[in-house]
Amino acid sequence: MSDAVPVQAPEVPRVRSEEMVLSMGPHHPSTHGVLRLELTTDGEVVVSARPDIGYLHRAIEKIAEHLEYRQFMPYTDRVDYLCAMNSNHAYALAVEKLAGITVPPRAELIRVLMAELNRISSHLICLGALAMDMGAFTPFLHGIIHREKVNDLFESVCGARLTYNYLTLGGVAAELPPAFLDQCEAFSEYLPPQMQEFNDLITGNSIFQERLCKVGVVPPDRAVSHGLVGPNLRASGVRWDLRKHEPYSLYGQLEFDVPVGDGGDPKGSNPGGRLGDAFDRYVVRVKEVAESVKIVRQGVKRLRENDKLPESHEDRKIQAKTPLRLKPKPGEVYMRSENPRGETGYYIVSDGSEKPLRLKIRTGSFSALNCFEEITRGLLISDVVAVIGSFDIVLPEVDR
Amino acid sequence: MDFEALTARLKTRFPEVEAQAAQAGDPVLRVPPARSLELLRALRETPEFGFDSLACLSGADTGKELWVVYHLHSFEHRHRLAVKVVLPREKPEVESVVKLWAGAEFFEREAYDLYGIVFKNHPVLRRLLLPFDWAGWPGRKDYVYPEEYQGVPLRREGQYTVEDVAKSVAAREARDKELQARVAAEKRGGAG
Repeated sequence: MSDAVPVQAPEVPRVRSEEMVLSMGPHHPSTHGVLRLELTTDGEVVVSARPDIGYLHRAIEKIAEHLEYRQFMPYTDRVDYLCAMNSNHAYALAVEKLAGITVPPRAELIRVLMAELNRISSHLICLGALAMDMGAFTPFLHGIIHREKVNDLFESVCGARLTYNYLTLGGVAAELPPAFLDQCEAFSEYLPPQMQEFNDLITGNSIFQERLCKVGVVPPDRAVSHGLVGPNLRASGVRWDLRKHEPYSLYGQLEFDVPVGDGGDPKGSNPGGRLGDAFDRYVVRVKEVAESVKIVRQGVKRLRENDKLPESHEDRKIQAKTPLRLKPKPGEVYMRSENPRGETGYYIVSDGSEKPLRLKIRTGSFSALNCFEEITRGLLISDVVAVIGSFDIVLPEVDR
Repeated sequence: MDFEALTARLKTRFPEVEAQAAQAGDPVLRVPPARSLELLRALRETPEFGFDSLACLSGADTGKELWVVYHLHSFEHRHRLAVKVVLPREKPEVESVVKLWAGAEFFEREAYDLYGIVFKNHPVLRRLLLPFDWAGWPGRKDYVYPEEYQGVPLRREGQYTVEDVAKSVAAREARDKELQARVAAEKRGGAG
């Protein structure tokens, strides 16, 4: 028995790894039928993630060519319905530049106030949805609760809670209701402690941080080359905010900071990460909410001063005098403004008639999806979810 | 640098560019398609221009000709420039700029999808927003909306046809004209 032939180990067949093509979703609120990600995976590792878009294409740009300038305003609500006020604003700015309309100061103040309130509500949805993607459901509900307060404010102004159509070419559609400024001020007092609670709940959570740090890193040079804009660009360390560096409306006179990503900085808010990772994109938005609250306070203060002027004063008007049928002179304009999802540019060509010859909308989410394939190469499948959420993609804005 | 300074600087190297003045809005630099890539490369890579970002790329149709419009922006110098390439309708072809700005990939695919503008040397020039087997270029002014797609009728019963819309527009314009004539007549009457 001692010199028995040793038993040979059975031959294990070598595991052949084969790439597999999967359609991803639904995870993020935006992937419910409107965004398809075609993943090519090798085991758990993503070889390529190709976004397949167009499911929400409504040909808004083509519709614009068949409508007069005024009639197109409600469609801009539908370009990005999470921040319809900002979309209205971007379109109004472009047409006003083309037609040479000057907006009265009170209307500008109201516009800035609305834009910042809408920025807060849009960021809250993004932050909550990202946390929800990472498996934490409660922060999303917190975000929704705070957003409801903003929606209530908007409802008291214009009657709508999602698609407002409140801004007009040359001003705003209606005067503020009597108690609005008090309610606005109360909201600006209410939000900071609530955001503190939100941060205690999720931003400082180490599991949450582990999921986002060093995931989906966009270096600054790639961010610029890919045309990333807004918070996604600032998270990569590029200090560029159109409100600050190309001021439009009244932003040149207001005081606020431009937060940028500081991943990897031991004294910063993301010491365990790397510059331009998903957690940087998250933290930049948290900080921007605080900056918007600052602007809301300044707006309320300035509007109170404006209220003291006599009723008939020029500065108290909310609508500039514009012809009923607007016919800008032949020419073209590219006007951009800082929306929650970054630069929203309207390129409008006029041939002197009452309808635009061409209207093109450039949006932030479109560029974010453009760089998606490059950023997600080599990530784990579960991290792809984090990257989608951190870019804050809103699909109607991509497809238009 | 402002638009005039940029144009003057570029004229020495690219005599064929021309500044297009307009009655309203922004000035635009026009360049023939054969030299567009060279010009854009110079704008991207020469340090004094330093256009490191492509803010927007749009295709357009005026009814007579097709356009590709590049809106450039420089983070370093904080200046911007619009460059327009005019293409013939029969053979709209222009060099792709994906190598200069990675962000151009989707923009160019969209312009191809809606206007049929061919970007040479683009990595994957496929339709972006529309289904891959869609026929025609819907962004163009002469596009006719199809009756069906893959056997699915695209016009429901009772829906307005193009002729109906044209009729209602004509009726409205006639009404407007009548109204204007009446207002003018009243004004004349009031003055007299």
